[in-house]
Amino acid sequence: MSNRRDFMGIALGGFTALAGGLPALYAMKRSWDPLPSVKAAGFTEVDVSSIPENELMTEKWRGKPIFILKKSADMPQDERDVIVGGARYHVSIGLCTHLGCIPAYFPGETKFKCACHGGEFDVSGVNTFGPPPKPLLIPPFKVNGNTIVLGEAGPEYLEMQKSGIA
Amino acid sequence: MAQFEKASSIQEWLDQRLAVNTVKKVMALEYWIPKNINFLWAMGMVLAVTFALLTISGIFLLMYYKPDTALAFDSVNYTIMTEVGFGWLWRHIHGVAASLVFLVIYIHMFTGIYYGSYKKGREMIWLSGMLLFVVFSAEAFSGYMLPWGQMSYWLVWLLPIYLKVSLLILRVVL
Repeated sequence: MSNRRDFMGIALGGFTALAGGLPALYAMKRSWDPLPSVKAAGFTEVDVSSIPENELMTEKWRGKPIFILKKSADMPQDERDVIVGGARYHVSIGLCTHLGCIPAYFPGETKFKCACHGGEFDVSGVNTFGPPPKPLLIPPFKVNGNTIVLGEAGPEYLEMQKSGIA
Repeated sequence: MAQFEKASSIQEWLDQRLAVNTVKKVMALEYWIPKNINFLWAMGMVLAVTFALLTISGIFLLMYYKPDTALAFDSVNYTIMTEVGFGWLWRHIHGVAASLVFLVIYIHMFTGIYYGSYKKGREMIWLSGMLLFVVFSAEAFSGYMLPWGQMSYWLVWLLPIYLKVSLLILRVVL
């Protein structure tokens, strides 16, 4: 800052950068916030009593795919199972834990396979092959009669959270 | 050149390979211009800033735009304009800047014609400018298509007619 003129220039430039830059950054941040329609879809109720065994149902919750799969009696028991009306269900966020692609379910092999990098998950959502580092994530859920409420943490979910699987 | 010694800084390393110091001298430090030039000579920089605005606002618009004939119109006029925080701001910046950029291009072009910036030795300046003008026009046309409303649809109908008329006028003039 050699003279008054330079000082005025720097002061004006700095003020302009602050006055223009900060509101622009705020607007950019707001543009990235979840949309009102996404927030309004915070809770999703799913009636699971009528879905057939070993057939994947994909629900939408907060813009994410949710896998719901009714297990048949011969499928192995897992601590990740959700019990609704006496039947066991697999419930998870349907995004591969590797890089977030949506795996497909193969009922014949009772496996989830991810098309992106070949990751595989068993019928309980546990990673069994390929790059996925951990099992499919379990969304907050609450069992309410014959329905599962997604987005609300029920006692079963809190139990899973306590044992570190959700 | 072609003599390489161990560089003591990134700038020196780049200078040995890309002659960045010469570029800086020619393009900035010793790019002498008269003190008393008028505002018309600022149009190039105004265009650069407008283009930066278009790029930034365009990046924010493409985060929510849906490239589908059935979904495009609502993704622009409903999602971006009402749901996305400040989405309306990005769209208006994008639309107004896209119009202004052509106004400034025409002033820029007028400056070049009026002061003879295309004359002997400067032919490539005019030609590269014309190339950019065509690229910008094509880009503006494709951007006008994106909301896929009535105006976009009928511009597709109008464009070949417009091009034909332009060619006819050119033929009469030349």
